[in-house]
Amino acid sequence: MLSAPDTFVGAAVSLNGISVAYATDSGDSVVAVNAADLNIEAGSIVALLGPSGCGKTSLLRAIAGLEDPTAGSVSIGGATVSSQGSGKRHWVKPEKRNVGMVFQDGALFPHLTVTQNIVFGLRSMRKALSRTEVLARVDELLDLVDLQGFGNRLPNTLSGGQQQRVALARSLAPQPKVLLLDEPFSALDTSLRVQVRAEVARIVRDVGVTTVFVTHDQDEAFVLGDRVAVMQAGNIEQFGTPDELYRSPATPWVAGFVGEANFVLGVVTGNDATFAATPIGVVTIEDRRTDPNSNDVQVLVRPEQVNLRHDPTDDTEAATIRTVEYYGHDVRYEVELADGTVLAARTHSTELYARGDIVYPSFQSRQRGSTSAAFSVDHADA
Amino acid sequence: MGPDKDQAIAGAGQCDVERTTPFCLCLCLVIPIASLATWAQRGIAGGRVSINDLMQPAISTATVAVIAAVLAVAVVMPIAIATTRRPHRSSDIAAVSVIVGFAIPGLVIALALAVFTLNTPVLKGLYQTSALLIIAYVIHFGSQALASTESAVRAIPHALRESSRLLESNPIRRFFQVDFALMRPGLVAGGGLVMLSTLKELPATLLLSPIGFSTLTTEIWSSYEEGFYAETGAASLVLVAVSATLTWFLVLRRSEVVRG
Repeated sequence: MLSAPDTFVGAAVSLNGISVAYATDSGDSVVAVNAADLNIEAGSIVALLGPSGCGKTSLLRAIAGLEDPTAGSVSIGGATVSSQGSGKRHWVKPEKRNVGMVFQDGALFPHLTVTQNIVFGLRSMRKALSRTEVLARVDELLDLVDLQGFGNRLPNTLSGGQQQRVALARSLAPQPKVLLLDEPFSALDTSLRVQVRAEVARIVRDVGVTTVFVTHDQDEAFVLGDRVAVMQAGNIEQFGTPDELYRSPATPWVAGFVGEANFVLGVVTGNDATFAATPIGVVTIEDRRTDPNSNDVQVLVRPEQVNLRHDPTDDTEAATIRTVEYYGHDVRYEVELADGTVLAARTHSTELYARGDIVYPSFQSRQRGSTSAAFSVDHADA
Repeated sequence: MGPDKDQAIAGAGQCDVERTTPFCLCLCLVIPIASLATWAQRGIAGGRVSINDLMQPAISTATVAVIAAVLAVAVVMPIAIATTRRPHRSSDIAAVSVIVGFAIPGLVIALALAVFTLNTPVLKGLYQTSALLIIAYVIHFGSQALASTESAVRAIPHALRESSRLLESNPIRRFFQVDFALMRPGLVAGGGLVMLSTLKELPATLLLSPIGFSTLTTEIWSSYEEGFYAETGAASLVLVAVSATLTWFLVLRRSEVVRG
């Protein structure tokens, strides 16, 4: 589908202590981003993931230069483009940063054709290119986003997905060092979103540009991102690979945000404190984030780590099936333990239970990821 | 009040509108135009009125109206951009000043400009020139362009401006390629309103016109003063035709475009 990718080298992006604040009508200041540190490798794809209002878009805009941070510094390719704080203020205008940006709705110029939109993106290179070269480059970019023959169309005659691909082509036209995407798929319907995001992922990987994108969709962040920064209330809670975030979340909040999470109370056992006895059996603790002097912990157990059995085992308790959600490839159950704790469990659909059945939930210890993270009990409300 | 009664009242209202519309049209449009046409026809038939005599005032009227419209839009555009994008006390004061210009009678503006230019040695040469007349029009009718220009500025999505900023480093080129191009329909509408008002303006035109310079309104006024109703009728008809064309272009055609 995609051909002749135009490759160029992306640049590393480094954020040090970036804070962004907004003045309110009442004269107060609201902190959107609070001293964020982030090091993004050249050529990688990074997702900024978090709920609405967590500051992810403000952070993205600070990289672009569309927000003026109140503190900290931003470097692109080793060169400081924004620096605030104790030293002298340093500021490189957005148009001089060599970053491309795709906005939520594409932000195509409605009065210009697809070709003219892309040519607008080539303006910075206009002096170096002849008219023939400019048109050849437009064809190359249209080819890259699989929109050959759409050059004379106006944006309002394109579908949402096509508009986003034109926006991508336009932002890639000046060969930016960094590509920023602000919730680029949120305006698309579900089926189109999956298709467009796969195409975008392929294009940015082929091109090799460093890409930072904002999303509140965990699936999107995990599918597209080499690394994901999870944000909450202006802070970067954790920055890591999708696997690290899922298996070793830094906080119970991150655990819950990047997937469904059960927390069961347990008591640490074993000489090296790597096991916890819980109502669903002994769980291997790989990542202990608790007070070392306390043996009481809450253990993260993902629904797919919960196994349901008809027969009791020595260290498991009886539970009642409360809800059954059949998805075809698997089934999601909610089971209630005797103490009222409700656990979510996902099992293969080969063995089905009905509401009201008595089952014995246990920790799956023989599959990959048969370890878990433990948190202090006082985090239970987080 | 029951639904039947509501429907009866609504039906009666609709009936009233249907009855009164032809009456209003007769009173406001048909009768005046018919009277003017009668006078004009008598003048043309009697050889007292020549359409060629109205050409020069018509051209002068159109020229000053177009220049005033373009200038008014150019003057209010920075104010509209400032009040819409970066509201500040100074931009608010500028916007209010433009609106005050419309509130003050044209005669007062003309008198003020006449007195000011006559008492300012370096500006004395401006008195009784087309330039001063156009300045008076801009001061008086600028606010008519302000509202549409503000709407045009507000209609440009923020993301488009940011997008253009990241792609084009030259701010002037950026403005004309994106902002101005997208604002154009609103600017044309604002300029058209100024033009329409300028075409009909009389007091300031009488006071500030250069010697020998006549517009359609001054022509209508002077011929009426002298009792030449045939000339008055012909000049008025030309003015009505120009205004109607402009109104059609600005209002009716635009609404058809909007409705698709």
